Formats: sequence, structure tokens, C-alpha cells
Amino acid sequence: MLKLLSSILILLPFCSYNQGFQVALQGQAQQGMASAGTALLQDASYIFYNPGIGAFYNKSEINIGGTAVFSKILFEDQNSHTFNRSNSPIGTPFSAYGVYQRHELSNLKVGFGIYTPFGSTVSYEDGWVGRFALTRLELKAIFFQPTISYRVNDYIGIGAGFVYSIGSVNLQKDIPVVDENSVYGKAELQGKAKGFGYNIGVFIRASERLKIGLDYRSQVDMSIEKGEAIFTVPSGLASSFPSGTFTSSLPLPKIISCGLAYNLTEKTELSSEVNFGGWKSYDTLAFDYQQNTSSLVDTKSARMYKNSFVIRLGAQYKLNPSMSLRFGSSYGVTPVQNGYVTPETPDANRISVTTGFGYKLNSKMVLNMSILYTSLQREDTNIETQLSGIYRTNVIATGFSFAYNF
Amino acid sequence: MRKTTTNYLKMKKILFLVIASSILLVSCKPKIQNIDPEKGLINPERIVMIGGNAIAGYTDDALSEDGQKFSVASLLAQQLQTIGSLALVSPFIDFSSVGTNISGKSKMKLGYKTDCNGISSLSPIRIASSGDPSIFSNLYSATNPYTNLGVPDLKAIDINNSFFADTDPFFARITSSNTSSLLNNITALNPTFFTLMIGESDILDYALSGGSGVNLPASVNFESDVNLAVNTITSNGSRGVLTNIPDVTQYPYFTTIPWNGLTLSAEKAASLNTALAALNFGTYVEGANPFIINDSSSPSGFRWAKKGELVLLNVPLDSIKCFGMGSTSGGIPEKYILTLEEIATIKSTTLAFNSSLASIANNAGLAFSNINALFEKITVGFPQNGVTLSSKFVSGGVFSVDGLNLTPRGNALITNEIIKSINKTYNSTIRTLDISAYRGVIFP
Repeated sequence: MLKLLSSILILLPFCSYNQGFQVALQGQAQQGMASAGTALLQDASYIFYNPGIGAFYNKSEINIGGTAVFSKILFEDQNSHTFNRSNSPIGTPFSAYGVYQRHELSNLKVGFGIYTPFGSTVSYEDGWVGRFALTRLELKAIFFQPTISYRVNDYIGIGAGFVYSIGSVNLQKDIPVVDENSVYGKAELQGKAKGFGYNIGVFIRASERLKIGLDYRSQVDMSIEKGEAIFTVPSGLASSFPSGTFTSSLPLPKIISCGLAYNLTEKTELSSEVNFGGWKSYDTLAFDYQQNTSSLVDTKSARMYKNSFVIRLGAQYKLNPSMSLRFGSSYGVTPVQNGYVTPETPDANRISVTTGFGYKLNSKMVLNMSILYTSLQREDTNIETQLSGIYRTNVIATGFSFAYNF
Repeated sequence: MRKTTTNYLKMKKILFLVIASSILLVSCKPKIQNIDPEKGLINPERIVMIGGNAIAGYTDDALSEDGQKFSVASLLAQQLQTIGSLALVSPFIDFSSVGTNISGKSKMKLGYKTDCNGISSLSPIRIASSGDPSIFSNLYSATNPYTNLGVPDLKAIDINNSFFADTDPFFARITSSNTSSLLNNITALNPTFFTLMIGESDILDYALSGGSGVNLPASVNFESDVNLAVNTITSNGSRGVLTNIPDVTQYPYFTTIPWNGLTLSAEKAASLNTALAALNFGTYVEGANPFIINDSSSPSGFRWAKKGELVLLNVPLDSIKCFGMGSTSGGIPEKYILTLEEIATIKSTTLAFNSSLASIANNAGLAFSNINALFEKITVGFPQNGVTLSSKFVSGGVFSVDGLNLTPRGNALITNEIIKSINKTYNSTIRTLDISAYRGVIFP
């Protein structure tokens, strides 16, 4: 098994962790299996993956985990062949789940999840070629999800969660106006957002071996009502770029998942799923400034995302009663169309490879670890900014979680 | 117990492997895959840059170090060096100098100016009360002669003029001798690759006079002057690039003040309608109204400006705002106006010059850079690397505060266009410049 593990790690030349600005890193056990968790009766992470699973997960549990995402982008300007790198901070998606069942035979289960299914921070080195398109974007969204799961009969479980989301955005870019000290203007837009949604799922135990999962995570519209726009420009232009407030909104798209899990042997379980992402709703990124001038007009930047999907395949192998090894691979089709690639999401079709393990410290405590790698490349000329070049991105995400059953 | 120990060891091994791989992958940044530019058919060794304002780095209505550093010659030479050219030798002015123009004035910048109504606003102003006359002394060195032979306001007829140094102090400061023509200076350098930008000044002189007092050179003379220059330079086998001429009437110097820039309140319009009723030009309305301009060909000697006619940027704005120029107290003098006929003359001459330049380049096997087409695009406005480039005065980022000459960003745009045509003709792969790295107008 070790040989297999090491050979997979060596064979990781093509790898990915998200799609658009979605972050599918919400449970370490599942992450080790390419996040194919919709039909996987695994742990309390079901709150995110499929609340229907809860109906058959006969444990109370507290499950806390986090992932460190290292993402490195290299941009090559197609005209000047200037190379610039990103200097994004380490991404830290996390999840915390608590689920409670009064007794083992109860067909009702309650739970609560806090997790971060969207968001990242992308920043580029000073003076980079695309500085007037973007220098930094920090996008955060934290979902709070009280969840209830109900076992209808021995075969079917259903579950539903209400999502309340809080988030924040901070977008920075340079303005192509310069003062006597060669200092360029700067725009910083920041604001807090909130939104609502839901997460519903069905889990079918078709046989002892075969499980089927369906999940629907609704679109959440994150709206910024009173963002703050700060413009730092030469004093001669201060009246043209008045700092003030703005409104904007960002749709976090619906994700529909259907999965199958199958126990090949007593020790080996396979899990697969397809995620459908309703990215089409992200057609425009608009900023409506409270105070407009001839230089500061409301912007409507076309994003024109298209609906897309991800296929995930994972496996876990029980080495012994306390140790499980996991592997997975996924293929994601980018929602970003040609002509609309931006420095904040230089997305591309991608293959990801994952691995991980779970270790039972004792009858109550489980430690999980996962690692993911992907490498992607996207060449484009953005229609709006005419920023033209190749983005090469390497991503590695590694995380731990700790679960306590009671 | 034994089993647990084995498990523990296994887990340690796996953990080690996973962590080691993580470290390996984290340090694995995407690799730069750079390909060196290729020179193709160019012998890049001895480059010579010939031309007027853009080649010399004349900007903000003066020659100064600040402009020279970002001249088309400097920017292009910098890129040609990547395929093996020797460094360009430019007649740099001291960086602390305020620069000078031909009439002894300093360079301009954007500053605050108070008008006749006491209103202060951003406007081009001189950075010093006078220019730096020390610039006009000969700097020629036989051991290190200038390969940047940009001469502000260079006209085709001056290229082979042996008395040029006597009449032009900008040429006098760089020439090898007072009796050498510019062409003598060029051939003495035995160039292997040259850039020639010529013709814009020939047309601008006429346009800047408002079409009065200066004649446009005849197309045949222009063609023979350029032809002689190109044939002489290429007689040693030198290759090079020739550029054509933009439509100068699209420059902000001519497009910033509208023909109907007389903005009136309803009361003011009514009172003008009463006061000027006898002239019978038309009815003044609230808002935009045509200026009255002097026109010797009209019966009264003046008339309303027509749509499409251009008001020059040097028109005395205070006279318009406070003293009735262009309305109650008479017309705007002809030297500040390009009439429709004059504009048509400029456009047809530009067309003729450009067709001469294209055929000269073609006959000599030179690269030909269509700067005219580039400026058509700039007039409409277009984005590149997140920067919107346009010919709008000050805010467009392409033209300097004199409204005629270019900012470093504008020069970088021209340089890129020239590089593209060189690459096309000579199968080279010289890199273009990153536009976003070059500034537009400096704001206070």
C-alpha cells in the first residue's frame, strides 16, 4: 500500500482544488477521496456534502478540520513576455461540524455546521502587468448551517439545512494615473456581505454495498449594501475620484451533486459523483458607486460564466481496523469562458489528484489528513481589459481534521 | 501490542511521506519558460534613429531629459539591444534642467491656473519662467557620435540641408560639424539598421498656424526628399523601418475646444440674440453655441464656426470667457481655427505623403509601420493591459500636456507598432513593451 501511495504522489503531474471560486475542501476524509462525499457514509462532514446521510450516521460527533491551500500563479504577458508571480497568502478553508443523535435507534438527527465553501485571496507582485485590472482580491464567505436529518425507512434518509452566510470582499487595483513621485493611483473596494440559502439531500441505502446520494445546495446571493470605496489618487484628481460607498453583489452558485458509493470488498470502498455548478448566474460583476463623476462611473464587467461540472472518483482502503488510506482524482470543467479570464480567477479545466488517511486514535477519536495537488494553465485575452497572456497555476492543499464521537 | 507498534510505525512513515511531498510541491512554483528574442534577417549591430519629436523625445512642449529617456528612439533601442544592438547614444540633457523649446521656453506640466473669473483649475503651465539656453551648445564627440539623431520639428527638406545647423539649434547641438547635413551625419555612422520617422512636422507646421501663413510642402518634393534620404542610407546595405504619419487633426491640440464651445444661459442667449440680430448668423440657445470666427472669405469678415471645424488649444481662453472673443466682441482670429477646407487639405496631404512613404519603404525593402492606423484606433480609444488609451486631452494618457507630443505611454505604443512591423518584415521576434509600465500625464 505504501508503494501505491508513494507512486501516486510521484505521479501527480496534473492536479486542482476548486472550480471558479468554489472551494470543495469541507471534510478531510472526503478530500482524500477527491471530495466525492455525496454518497459516502463517513462522518459529520455530511452536513456539507449531503444532509440526508445524517439519517444513517448513528453517532454524535464533533468534527473540526482545516486546510492550508498553497496556490502559486505565474503570468506571462503575451505582448512583452514579462513574467509576474502571485504572492497570495496561504488559503485557510475550515469546517466545524457538530451532530447529535439522542440514541442509536432514533430516526431523527440534528446538526450544525460552520464552513467555507467559497472564497480565496489572490494577490500579485507589485507593479505587475495586470496591476490596473487587479492587484488583490480577498473573498470570504462563511456558511452557518443548522441541519436536520430524518430516516424515512431502512433505505431512505433525507436531510435539510438552512444556510446563513456572512462574507466580506476586498478588491484592490491600481489606477493608471501618476503623480510627480511616480506613485500610481489606487482603488480599494471593501464591504461586508450576507446571504441566505439552503442545502437539502437524499441518501439511499440501496443495498448493503451500494449507496446513492443526491444533494442540492442552493445559490446564495451575497449582497454588499454599503461597501466602502477608497481612492488614493494625486490631489489634482481627488474630485474626480471621490471616496464613498458602493453597492454590489456576487452570486455563490447552486451546486447539484449526485453520487454513488460502493463497497467493493469489506475493506475497499469506492465513491464517485458528479457536481453540477450553476455558474451561469455569474454573468456580471457590477459596482454601483454612490457618487459618480466623469472619471468614476458605475462599472458592469461581463463575467459570462457558464454552467459546468466536476467528476470525482475516490477510494478508501482499510489497512486495518484503525487505519484507512484514501485516494482520489477529479476532473473539473471551468465555468470561465474564453475572453473572460481575469487575474482573480485564472481558471482552467483541470485534473486533481488527492490522497489521505484516517487513523483511529481510540474508539472515540479519529484523525484525518488529506493532500491535493493540481496544476493548470490558461491562455486568454480578456475582452474588457485586453490583458493578454498565459496563467500557469500550481495548487497544493493539505489539511487535518479531528473528530470526537460520543 | 506488536500490531499497534507496526501500525504506529507505518503511520509515521506515511505521515513523513505526505509531509515531505507537501514541502516538495509547495516549493514547486510554476516555471518560467522564456524564449530569447530572435533577430531574424536583421543585422542589429549599428542602429541609428532618425526623426522628429517622437524620436528626439520632445514632449510637454520642450526637449528635456525626462522626455529623452522615453523617446521612441530610446524605447526601441532598448528592445533592439535584446537582439544584439549596441546601446543607443543619445544627446541627453541634464536631468535637473527645465528643458527648452525653440523659442526658449521651459517644458510644461499640469498645474493650477487661475482664469479671468478667478476660478482655479488644472491646466498646462510652464515649469519655469524661461527655458534652459545652455542646452544649445554642441555636444558632438567623434569617439562616441550620437546614434539618436532625433531633431525636434525635423522636416523632410532638412535631411539633406547642409545649412541646417545654422538655422536649427537642436540639430546644431548634435551634428559632427556646422556644414554637415543630417544625412552626412547618418552615413558617417554606417548604420546596419535604421528607423526613420518623417513627415509629421511638415504637416503640423501648417496645422499649427491655423492654415494661415505656412504652406504645406508639395507631395512630389516630400517624396523626393525622403527617397533621396532612404536611397543614400540603404546604399551600404542597411535595413530599417519607415513609419507613416497620423492624421494630426485628431490630436487633442485641435479637438479639445469644440467649435460650439460658447456655453450660454437662457438669459445670455436672449441678450446675444438681441445684440447680434443684425448679423443674421442664427439663433443662440441655452447651452452650446457656435463661436464666431474670423473668415476673410465671408462678406462681413466673420461667421459662425461650422460643425467639424477645429479650435486650436492656444486660443486665448480668457478673451473668450471674459472679453467676448468669439461672441460679442468679434470673431476668433483665423490663426486659431482650422476650417473645413483647411482640414480637408491636411487630410489629403497626409494621404499623399503616406502613399509616398509606403511605396518608398516597399521599393527599398524596408519594414513599414502604419502609425496612422494606430492613431485611428487611439482616436476611438481602446484598452490594453487594463489601461484605456485615447486621444482625449490629459486623461487619455497618450498625449502629453502640450496636446501634440506623446507621453512615455504614447511613445511605448508607437514603439510596439514599429516592433510589430519589424518582426513581420524581418522574421524577428523582438518583444514589445508592457504598456502598463509607462506613465501618462503626471498629475499634481
